[in-house]
Formats: sequence, structure tokens, C-alpha cells
Amino acid sequence: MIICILSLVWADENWSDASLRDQNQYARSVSLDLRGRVPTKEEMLEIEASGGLSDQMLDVWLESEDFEEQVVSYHRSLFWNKLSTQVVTRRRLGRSNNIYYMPANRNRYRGNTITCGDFEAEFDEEGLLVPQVQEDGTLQEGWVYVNPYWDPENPIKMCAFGAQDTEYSASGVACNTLDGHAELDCGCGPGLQWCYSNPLRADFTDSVVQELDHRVRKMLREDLPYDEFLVQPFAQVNGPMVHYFKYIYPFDTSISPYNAVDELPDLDYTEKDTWVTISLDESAQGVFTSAAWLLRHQTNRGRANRFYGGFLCKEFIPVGGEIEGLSGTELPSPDLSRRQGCVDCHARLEPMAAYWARWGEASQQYIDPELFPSYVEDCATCMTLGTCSSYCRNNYVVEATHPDENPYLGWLKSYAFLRDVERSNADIGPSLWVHDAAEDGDLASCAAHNASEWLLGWSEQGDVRDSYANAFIETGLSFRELVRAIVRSDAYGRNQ
Amino acid sequence: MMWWLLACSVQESEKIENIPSEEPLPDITEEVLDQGTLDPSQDTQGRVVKRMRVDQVRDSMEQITGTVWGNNNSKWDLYAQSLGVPDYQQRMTEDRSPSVMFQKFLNDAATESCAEWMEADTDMFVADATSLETSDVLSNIEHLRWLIQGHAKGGEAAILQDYTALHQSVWVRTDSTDEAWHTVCVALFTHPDFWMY
Repeated sequence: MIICILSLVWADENWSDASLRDQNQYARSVSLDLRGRVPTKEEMLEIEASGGLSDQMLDVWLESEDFEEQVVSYHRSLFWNKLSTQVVTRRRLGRSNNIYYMPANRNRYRGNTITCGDFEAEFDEEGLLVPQVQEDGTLQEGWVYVNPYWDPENPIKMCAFGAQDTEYSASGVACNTLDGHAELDCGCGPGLQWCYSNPLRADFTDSVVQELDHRVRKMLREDLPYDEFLVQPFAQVNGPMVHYFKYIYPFDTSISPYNAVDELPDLDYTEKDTWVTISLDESAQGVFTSAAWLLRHQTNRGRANRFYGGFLCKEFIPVGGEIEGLSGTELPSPDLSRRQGCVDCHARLEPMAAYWARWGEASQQYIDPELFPSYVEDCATCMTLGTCSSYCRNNYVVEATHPDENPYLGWLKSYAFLRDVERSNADIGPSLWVHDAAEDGDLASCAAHNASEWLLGWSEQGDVRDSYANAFIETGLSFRELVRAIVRSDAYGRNQ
Repeated sequence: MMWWLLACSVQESEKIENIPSEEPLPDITEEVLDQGTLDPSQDTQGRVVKRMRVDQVRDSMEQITGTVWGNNNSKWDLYAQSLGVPDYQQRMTEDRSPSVMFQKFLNDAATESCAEWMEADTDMFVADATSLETSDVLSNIEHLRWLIQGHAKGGEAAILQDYTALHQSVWVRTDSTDEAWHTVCVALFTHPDFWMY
């Protein structure tokens, strides 16, 4: 009898333990997926006391900054958000023996590719720099102390030619312009504000990348619908970005300002963690026209391919699984959507790439239709008349190297080979694609697929995935609710 | 003893002799019974158990121990590229295999973090860590397992005996309970119950 009672007690303890262990492990998994770390000791006690992860605690986790960071990281893997673009080459500062100098102007300042000497610079009574004349006739100046804009409290040694801070040269050229770059009596300006060093260049490109991350945070904080988050025309800037746009951009147009420079907020370079939202003109179309996206995916085909794979979960596969017919044609068509062997993929890809026809490739520049209409009659006929300007040659199809090009003479290069119905893609931009994908459910379906891959490790079961997609649609494309639906589903609670 | 050996040998020889020379083979029929899935109760797939990402290991370990592997600059970040963390230029997805490289760094991190955690002496133990009483050792092991692997206390998992044996064997060799607990701590962090979820 005693043994029977003890057996019941043990059985009950074991059952309770097993149940509790499952709840602990479930909560641990949710915490790791949603916050990137295990629950705290206090949270574990609360979970055990309440018999599992309560809705209230899940709400707190879904509203936490840790969750934001997980969603940011998840989207980074969709955007492939990383920038290694070379910017600010002309105004880059070098450093030798702890003395800063301007590599691009060494020859111009001194007549040779030498830097300044390691001695304090001399000035005459009028304050003009007095360089030393070398045996070979070249000049060499010394250095001066400057309080740089990136660390005003700690002066650095800067070669005196590069440290010049006059606003206008003796010949009247503004030193903060591209023309001023070539003037001998122009330098880096007050506090070296017109120049950049390598670490600061990384600050700027990192900021451009982070700007995309901040869009994701904004989506969660304002609970924006997923499609709206992707196309909302706004941008955020921080100190390094404002500094680049205000002071460096005139010399180096790699990344253009999002807005009129005068309308940018007043932020010091050192305000790296201060982000200010700015509104943009109608050309901006959200994530897919942001600098981070356009410069990471530098060709229109690359941009379309990434959107197709990352946000529609589709890929380009040739019919029959293999590419045939690439050889044998004497004069292959430059229109890849017609060329044998390419047609399987490019017949779909080319109209998709056209969504970015109004943005430069390997660039972030918007191709304004007022300056660059989609068709210019003069550019269509200029080659036969011998009157082609650089405007036509650089931007429009002016000659046909293949009969397939004839119908496109005079069209903007990025519009070449597009049919009439496809030109609206180019005229409207990628927001049209996002809008269409949201309308027909492809965007929601793919988001459910991607989130299933992230949280469950699979996405093959169509009915389960569809149930997540439906939950996503029913909650107005709320990404937070999609995540909640998955982690509260039977599939998530069961390990395999 | 001799009688026992003799008895065993007699039993063995009897077993061999009792094996029938020809065992009848079962009949094979071609009758189709029905079709079905191997496990019809599992209509829906469950979550795939996966290895923690590098940042998850880093943050979880730091939260549990209160220490940073590498002090001011986490070595998890330093070795991220070697551990297969994507840079979205050359690598687009994270390598989440429990590779030898991952195990090596995890072991290094656990060794350093456990030592610092013990020095800080915060919430690591619930019973006297210098005690060799079985109940004290078991209480501390259960507590550490709860903190590190999230397993509820009060169970009778067989692995508790393994950790107890590990503690005992290290203490016997080193005569140091600190060494014994450090080893148990490292073992808990390097066990898949910590880094798989």
C-alpha cells in the first residue's frame, strides 16, 4: 500500500516535471528567436509560476527592442544590406607619421607626390604660408594644428596646404565646390569640414546601411503594414550623413542628398546615433529606391532578381532546367528577352528590371523625366544627321547594331526593348510591383514563407504556410502579428 | 567461485545445444493491406531544432554569466567571420552547423566565462559550493542546469548523475571544488542542450 502511494507521488512529480520542462523549452525557443537570448532568471521563475509563456509576457517580448533587433537582422538577410561602395575618393585624407594630408592634391600643391615635412609650418607677416623650396624645385610646407570636425577637442597635425580654410581662392572660386578642389589656395576648410578620412568614410557608408535598418524599426514602432513599410517615401539621416551631404557631396556625387541640402536638419558629425526623419519628393519610393538598396544591388536586373527572390520567393529557372541554344546564331539579338537560350528567364526578368529604369545603375541617382524624357525625337535621328550630342549618346539609344534595336532609337537606354505595356513599370517604379504583389497576395505568401523558414526551419507545408499568410493578411500585414501567429502555432510548439 | 564458473559454463553449453538446427522461415504473402503514412499522428511538421546563431550564443552566455568573452571586445564578434556569420557580400546565409570550429570557440568561451562567473560569485550556486554532500552537489547541478540549459528543477534526468560523476572525478583528481564546478559549468555550456534549441 505504501509502495503504491509512493509510486503515485513519483508518477505525479515526473509528469509535472515533464510538462514544466516542455514549457520551459518552448519559452526558451521563443525567447531565442524573438529576442536573440535565453530568458532571464526572473522570467524563468515567472514562466514556471504561470505554467508557461503567458500572452502578457509574449506581448512584452514582441514590443521589446531586442525583438526589433531580431527583425532588423532578419530583414538584413533579405535585403543583403551591406555597402562597400568607394565614396569620397577626391577629398580623402591620408595620414603619414601621424600627419594628415590630401593625397589627391599632393602634386598640385607641391609639384611632386610628396607630403609636407615633419616641422611646424611657417607664415609671413601677412599670414601667408611660406613653403620651403627643394633642390628639385618642388615645394614642401610644414604642418599646423587643426581641431577637426570629427573630434574638435583633440587637435591633429595637418599639412598646411591642405589645412587652408579660406572660402574663396584668390581667383574668386568658391573653395567648397568641385572647381575649388583644383585651386592652390583652397584646402579642407574650417575644421577640415570639406575632407574625409578612411574611418569617417566607413562611418558614412555604415550610416547609409543603418538607415535601412531604421526603416525596419520604424515599421515595428508605428505598426506599419508591410507593404507600406516597403514603399513609404521617407528617409532618415544622422550626423555623418548630414555632414557628407552638406560638405562633401559637392566634391563627390557618389551618393546624392535625399533632400535639398538647405532643408537637412542641423546635426553635428558626432551625432551618429541621432536619426531624424525627413520627407522626400515623389520620386522616392521607399526601401527599393533607398541608397542602401540601389548601391548594394547595382544593376536593374540585380535589383529585380533580389526582389523576386527575397520578397516574392520565386526564382528564374529555365524551362526544362537547362539553358539551350546559346550558340549557332550568327548575330544574336541584344534583346535578351528574345535571344535563344536567354528567353526563358529574361522574358520575365526584363520587364521586372524596368521598374528601376528611372534610377541609374551603379548609382543612386534618380533619372528625372523632366530632364530625361523616355523618348527624344532628336536622339532618334541624330546619328543619321550627324548631330548627336553627348546628352543623346550618354542617355539614349542613338544607333542600331541589330535590327531588333531599330524600334527603340531615341528611347532612354533603360527603356530599350520594353513593350508599350511594360513602359508603365518604368514610368511608375518599384512601388507598382510592391503594390501589385500585395494585391494578389504574393507578398504576404512570401513573407509567411520567409518567416516560417526563420522560426520553424521549414516552409514546405503549403496549408500551414497559407494559414500564416492568411493571419498576416487579416491583421493588415502586421509583421509582428505574423510572428505571433507562428510562435503560437502547434507546429512551433512541437520539436522534431 | 569454481562452482559458479562451472555453473556458468554448463548453462552456456546448454544454450548452444538448445539452438534448433533449422529455424522455420515465416511465410511471405503478396496481399496488399492498406496505405498510410509512417507516423499518421504527425500531420503537421514541428519546429526544426537548430543551432544558436553566433550572436545568440554570445548574448545568452553574457546574460547567464554576466561576463563578456574577451572583456571589452567580445571574441564572438572578432571570430564572427570564421564562424560563418554572413557579411552579405561573400556570404549570404549563416553557417549554423555544429562545426568543429564552433565547438572549439564555444569551449574557449565557456572556459573563460565560467572562470569569471565563479570569481564574481553571484547567483551561480544555491548550496554550499565547497560541500561534497550529494544533496548539495545535486542541488547546485540542478540549479546550474536550470540557469544554463533552461531545464526545470526536480526531475530525475539520467544526465544529472553524469554531471555528479564529472564533479566527483575532477574533485578526486584535483582536490579542488572550484575546479570541479568549473568543469561542470563548461560541460553544461558545451552540451547541445545549451546551444541547440
